[in-house]
Amino acid sequence: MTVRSMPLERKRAIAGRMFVYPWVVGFLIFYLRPLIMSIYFTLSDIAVTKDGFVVKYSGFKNYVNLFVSDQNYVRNLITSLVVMLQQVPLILIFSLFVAVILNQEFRGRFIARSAFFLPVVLTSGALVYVLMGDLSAQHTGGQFTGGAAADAMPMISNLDFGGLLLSIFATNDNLYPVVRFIVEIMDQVFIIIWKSGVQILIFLAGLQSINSSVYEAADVEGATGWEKFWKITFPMISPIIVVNVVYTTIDSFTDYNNAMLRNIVDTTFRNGLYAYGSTMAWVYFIFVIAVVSIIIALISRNVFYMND
Amino acid sequence: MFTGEISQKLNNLYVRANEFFVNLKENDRIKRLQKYTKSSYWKKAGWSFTRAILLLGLLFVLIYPLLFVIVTSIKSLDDMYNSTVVWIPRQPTLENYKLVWKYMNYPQSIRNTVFLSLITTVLQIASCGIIGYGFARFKFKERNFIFGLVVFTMILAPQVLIVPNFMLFKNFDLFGLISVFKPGGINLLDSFWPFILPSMFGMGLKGGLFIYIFRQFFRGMPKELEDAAYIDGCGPLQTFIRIMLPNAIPAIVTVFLFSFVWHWNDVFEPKVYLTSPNLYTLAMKLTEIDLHAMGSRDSLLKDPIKVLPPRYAGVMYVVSPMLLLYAIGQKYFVSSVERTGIVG
Repeated sequence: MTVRSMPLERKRAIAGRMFVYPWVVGFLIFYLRPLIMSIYFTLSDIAVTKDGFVVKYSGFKNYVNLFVSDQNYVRNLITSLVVMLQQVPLILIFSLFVAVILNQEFRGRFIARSAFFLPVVLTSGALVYVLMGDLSAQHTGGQFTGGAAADAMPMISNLDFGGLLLSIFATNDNLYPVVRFIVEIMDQVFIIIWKSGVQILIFLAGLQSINSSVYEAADVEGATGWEKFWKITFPMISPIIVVNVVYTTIDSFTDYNNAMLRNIVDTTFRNGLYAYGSTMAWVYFIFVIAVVSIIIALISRNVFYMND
Repeated sequence: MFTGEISQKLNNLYVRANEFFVNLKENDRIKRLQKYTKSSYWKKAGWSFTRAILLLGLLFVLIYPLLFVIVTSIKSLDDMYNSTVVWIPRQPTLENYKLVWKYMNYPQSIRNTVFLSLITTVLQIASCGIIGYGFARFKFKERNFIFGLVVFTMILAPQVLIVPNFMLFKNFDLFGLISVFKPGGINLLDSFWPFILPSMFGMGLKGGLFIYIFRQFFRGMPKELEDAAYIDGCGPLQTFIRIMLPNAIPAIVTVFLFSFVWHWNDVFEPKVYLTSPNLYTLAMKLTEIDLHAMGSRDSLLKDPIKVLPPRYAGVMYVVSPMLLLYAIGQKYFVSSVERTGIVG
């Protein structure tokens, strides 16, 4: 590094700080104090009174309870890790595949793209809670509640081929395990389609910002579609793959349907155990942070950036 | 004799010309046939066919629930209790929509929702875009540490911080500055400020994800674009606004859609921060339809079917503006060359 390049570098560093520091200010105003308070809650007892909350220090009691007397906690922790490891790769492959298709030109592309926006709309916020109602009750009389798909996306419990298959073959003992296996795979397919909405849209935007002159050059050289995907599309979109991996992992851990998070929200808001709920959440999030850090460390080595 | 020779030559010529044209036609026909025998043609047709089948299957899975919601929302009670009626209502009615319009206080709620979603979304695009650009293009010592904090805020679910956040906005203060003038700070609850203020600093709903998206997009862009601007004497901010933003339109559209939809549907934070009914958003009203339609929770449990038509009419009221928005926003999903004219 020469002396002459120093001032420019320092200038760039200052400019960079100007761009990033608004976030730091926001973090200090809106995040840090609630964060510290929330950590303090884990070390206390909280009682709800008429005017608000009364917080009393109680040491590490909550942490001890968590690992010693709560039987479900550690089990839920492992379950959410296994579910994440199963689903994240499938969601990513599926959503990249769909995004590549939706990026091609064909008749009816408008309708296809709009349909893939539906999961983004229907699986967020109030709609999830409202649609979680007993839709299946109307069709099946509430006898059969379907498999995992019905749990994850209540609306598609109507689309319960699995239930149908099971009810046909349930009497045959030999076939039952086979049918059960097929049903489980089908349930997974539904979950993956419905969980891929956000990822597809992010990939689609990523595909569209690839400069098409690169593809034209490849065409001149006589590259096949397969080669073009692996040698151009894949490296060019790898920064976007990182976002999607991180987002999908976090989403899998903090999904409303995640057993762990449901348990935490129930404990905190339904049972009013704010302190214990905070403790559960904090231990869980430290676990998630560890997993996400490992994943980022593993993949970011293989990412291609145009400029670095 | 002489003429006979000429006429024979002419005749020969005529026959040969005729042969030539017949051959030409034949060649053309063969060529046309060859198109079908070429493997690339069948590959293309095969792919189009596979794609069509695949997309139709996926479309079915995706549109089915919406169709079900629409059909149920126009069913009358008789149709609901009649188990032979599934897809085609015998007495379709718009009564549910009329009722729910009143329950939701639709004109006012949609105004609140549009205002809240739009202003937070615009602020989030501006702040997250600027912050993401800072992470993507400038090197400074603490950059990675700060970005680590951003990822941390992505992971920590808002549910964990909601109680302390409530306390924060109840007695809002800026590093003790406000208490100097007004002890105890300002009460920002029951207003849109708890949504607007964090969005201005990239700390709004899912702000971490948006910063991440922008950062990755900007990192993937060719550096030549900026270098040209710097040589022309643009400062960093000007370069960002003039050069980077126009090239990041797919990212901006994506973040706009996500932020808008997530704010539109969000009930968790609004239910904590907003208490007066004239500030309620559509999503908040939607969660109350059950009770409006049934009178009490007991009757709701006794008859879970009766509530479905008004509930789904409410869902349609919430969903349709967003689908319309997407239909409009899709126009901006076009490839980069068409957009900027920058090649290579």
